[in-house]
Amino acid sequence: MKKEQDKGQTPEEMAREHLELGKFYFLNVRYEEAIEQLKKALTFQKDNADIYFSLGVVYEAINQVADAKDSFEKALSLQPDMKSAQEHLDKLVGV
Amino acid sequence: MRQFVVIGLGRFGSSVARTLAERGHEVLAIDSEEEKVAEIADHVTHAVQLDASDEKALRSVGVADMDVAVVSVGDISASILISLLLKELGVGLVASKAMDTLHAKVLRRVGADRVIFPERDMGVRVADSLSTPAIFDCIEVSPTHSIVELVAPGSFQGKTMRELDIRAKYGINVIAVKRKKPKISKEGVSEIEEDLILGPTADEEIVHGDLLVLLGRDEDIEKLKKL
Repeated sequence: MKKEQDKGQTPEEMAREHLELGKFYFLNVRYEEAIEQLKKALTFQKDNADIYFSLGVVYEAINQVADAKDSFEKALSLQPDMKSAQEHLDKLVGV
Repeated sequence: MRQFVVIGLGRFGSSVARTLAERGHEVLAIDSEEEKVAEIADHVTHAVQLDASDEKALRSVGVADMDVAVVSVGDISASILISLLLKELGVGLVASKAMDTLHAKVLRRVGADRVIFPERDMGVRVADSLSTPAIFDCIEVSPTHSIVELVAPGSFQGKTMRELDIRAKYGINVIAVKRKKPKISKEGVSEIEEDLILGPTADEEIVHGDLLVLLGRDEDIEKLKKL
């Protein structure tokens, strides 16, 4: 499934691939693998708010609140109008 | 070792102060009532009676040098003022207890780094340094019994309720399991839905991310928390 370092793929494409893979694992309740893929996605594109958002959601799913908050905050710093990230962050305030 | 100041020694504040001291931290406990100060004096590093909304008084006991301040004052306006003063004095992290969402909003505005909801946070958990929150919710049923929402310990994952036999082993009843259901929206966005499994059957298997809603004696719950 993985196509590491494929020739001809831009970093954006690689990031996208790992992001999708991360979502796939997330959907299949394989959270650790999801985190691994999303972190990999960030190595290709570290300024992508969507990746941070997805990472935040996975951390939230496994109750790693501090990591979830960090991820949502990072997403918001990259994309301040990201409503979904703000909503998740607000929900976690005080938890 | 970090230095903590706990202001307001009600049930919540004193529980935070004691737990922090038990964990080996330096704790300065402050309250305006002499009785409460006397009660905790033997359990913390220093206990002082003063009006924490008085900036000079706060300065005089060295609050500015503290790493973390926990504000657990029942009076809303006092709690806001104290949180503001602490931030101004340069305390690294100020965690303040909120009575309601409006109070929480104001606390954040005046610079509180963390807002604690008493119905969601338990003193001990906050003292566990906000790092690995095990308890998500707590309702006191009696002075000795509580209903708590606890992150299912890692060792529980993949086991059925029958295998875990929590009631027999720990004397605790599992009222419900809160389970996250991962979802991807039409727009491709990751989302979480929460399922409440009331009265889980013996065949119910615990999975990663589950929260257990438990009813039991506080001391038994403490044991389970340590798993």
